[in-house]
Amino acid sequence: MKLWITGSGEVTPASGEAFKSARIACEDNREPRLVHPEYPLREGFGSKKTRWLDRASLFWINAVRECLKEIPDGRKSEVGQVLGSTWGPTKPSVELEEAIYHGGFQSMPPAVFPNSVGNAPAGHAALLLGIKGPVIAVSAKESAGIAAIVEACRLVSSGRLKDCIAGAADHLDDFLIRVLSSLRGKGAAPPGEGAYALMVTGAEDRPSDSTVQVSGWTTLSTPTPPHKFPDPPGPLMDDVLDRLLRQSGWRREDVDLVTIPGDTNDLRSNCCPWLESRLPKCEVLEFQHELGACGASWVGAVSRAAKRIERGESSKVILISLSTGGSAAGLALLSPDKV
Amino acid sequence: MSGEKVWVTGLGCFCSIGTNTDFFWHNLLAGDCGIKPLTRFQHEDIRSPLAGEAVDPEGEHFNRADRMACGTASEALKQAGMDVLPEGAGIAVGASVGGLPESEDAYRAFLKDGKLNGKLRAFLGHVPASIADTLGNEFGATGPRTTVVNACASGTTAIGLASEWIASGETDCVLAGGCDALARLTVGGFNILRLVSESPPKPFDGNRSGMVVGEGSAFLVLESEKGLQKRNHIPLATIDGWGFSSDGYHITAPHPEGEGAFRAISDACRMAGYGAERIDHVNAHGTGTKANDGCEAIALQRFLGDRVRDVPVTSIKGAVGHTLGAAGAIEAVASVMAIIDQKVPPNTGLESIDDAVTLLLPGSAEERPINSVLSLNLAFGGNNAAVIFGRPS
Repeated sequence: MKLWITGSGEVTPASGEAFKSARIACEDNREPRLVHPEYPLREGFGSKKTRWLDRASLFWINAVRECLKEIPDGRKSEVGQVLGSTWGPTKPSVELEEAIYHGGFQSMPPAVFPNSVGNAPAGHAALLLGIKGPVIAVSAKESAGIAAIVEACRLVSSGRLKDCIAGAADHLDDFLIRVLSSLRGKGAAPPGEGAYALMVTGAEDRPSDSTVQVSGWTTLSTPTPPHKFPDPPGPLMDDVLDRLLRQSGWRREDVDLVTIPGDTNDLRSNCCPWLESRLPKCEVLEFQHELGACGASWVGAVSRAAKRIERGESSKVILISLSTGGSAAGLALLSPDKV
Repeated sequence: MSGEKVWVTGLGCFCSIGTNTDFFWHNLLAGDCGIKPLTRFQHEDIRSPLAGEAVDPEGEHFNRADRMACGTASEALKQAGMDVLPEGAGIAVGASVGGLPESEDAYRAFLKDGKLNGKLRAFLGHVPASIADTLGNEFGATGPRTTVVNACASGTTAIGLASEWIASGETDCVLAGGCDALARLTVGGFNILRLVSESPPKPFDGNRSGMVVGEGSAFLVLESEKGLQKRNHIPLATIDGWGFSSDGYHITAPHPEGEGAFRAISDACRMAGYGAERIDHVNAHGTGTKANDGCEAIALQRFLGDRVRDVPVTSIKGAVGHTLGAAGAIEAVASVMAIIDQKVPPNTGLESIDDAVTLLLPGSAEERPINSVLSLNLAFGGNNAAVIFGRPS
């Protein structure tokens, strides 16, 4: 079954001209790519209803609201959500742990605890936007965004859902930034935050003017120590690429745009020769300098690839993301002109 | 059900009343209670110092959650007749906090000395996906891999998702389950929300006063018909249907009429191709809180209809506590064992049934014909998940 991308929404470090962070202007800048602190995340929801929401949840409800715009009212309540997260809700956890450490269990802020579960952003979106379809929240490290889209594709293609919002929300708090900066060596992509959501719809239910088809989706893995990238990554990426090409009925030379992992210097230096040998004529979509590296920003890459397709600049796109621990997720996107 | 049939071929379980499936099931049927005073960490100012604490799991892994997961996965694979996972097999883990206990200790040390050195491994283990990665590395998984973080419905959702992979032909085998270790954050969090009981929980009891947090891990080996035939292995059960829903009502409280829970059950039944008329037993979420048990009873009474006094309903949380991300997986093991043994486990701790509850709630183990079992979980965020297990024909 072929699927379609029929909507999108995002809150990114580049969101809104007035709020665009100055820090993303320089290519060499390794500072974390953060959503502007004054970006109006509560606008339209009301400050009372959103007072206890953490930043990841605020990012996600904004992205989902935008994503729902094109869905007919009668279908909204049945929309599902597959939400990915790279690191999980670290900020609420840190806040609660500090409260216990300094003041004991009785000093834990009760309103923060519900945000310490991974599905909280999707729960808030269901509550505030009236969507009551299935929610599946997945933790999948760097592949979280693409893996979430793949699970949504599976749920829609099996006929369980007509429409499913898929994407990821990541929030970088100070502690996480410090941990990441000590983990990633020189030349690593800057970490990022934000929320990105796409609407995945089955062929029968899509609007007639839909412009981007999902022609292949997969998740695969290889045995790898939990906190390392597969080394070498090539064999796993080959498996993902071959499966996507087979599902889409493409040859390698058909692909005109690709996005590959480049989170660390080592990974990038492994992936570049792989790309040269597998897809030599393919243009590479770079997004991590602008949006930062995280599972969520990969959904931003899908969104940017979809826009390229809409503008007629690309027609067959492959995206492959890799996680530490050895899992990979891949998507193939297609222009309807080529269907 | 459309698509490939899903078979259960192996079970592994570890919790406060048993270090493997046999001990767990034997002690559950006997009405044992694993809820004891908490020993893992200091808790002077906590409201309820009780927990469903398990013994130390064996193994070399740094994180307690990894050790519990590897032990139960190994047990499940052994029963399925495997040492490692077959080529292309997937892993689906439900977890709420993963390796949080070690990360908590490291963070407390960080708050003292301000240094990250020597603590990074603990912090990285906090990412729930780490458990699935540890299992993937240990048992050679090469197929799809995911970690579901749907709070207390994580385990059931992971089993449902894994079944979806098999039904759609994505893979022929998945190691699916859930795992969570006791942590300050979860024990303290439920305390501060005043959802905990100062005595062992009594799900569906008129005098119930809350839940008690537990810990544990359980895994099931799920296989397609094709995978099963290839190995000529005898299956333990089938998975006939699975369903998910969202309340959209409140971030911590379930819908008071159990509307979302009912939709998840209906979704699972639609897939199974049968409803209450063929359900012989229900393994309920039954946390022991006023809100959960009340709304869940309404949903189950609505679902069971005129069979409400015929179908025994059990919550095992009076025995093992609420094991959060592992709950659905441990309850899945209890559901499959009920089919294998043709026995319904008791509602441990139940003394006097709530007047508003008309469900059939056995106080002791009962032998009876069981061909299909519905297992249900409700979670923070308003997420609900249901799975229906069947007896292999």
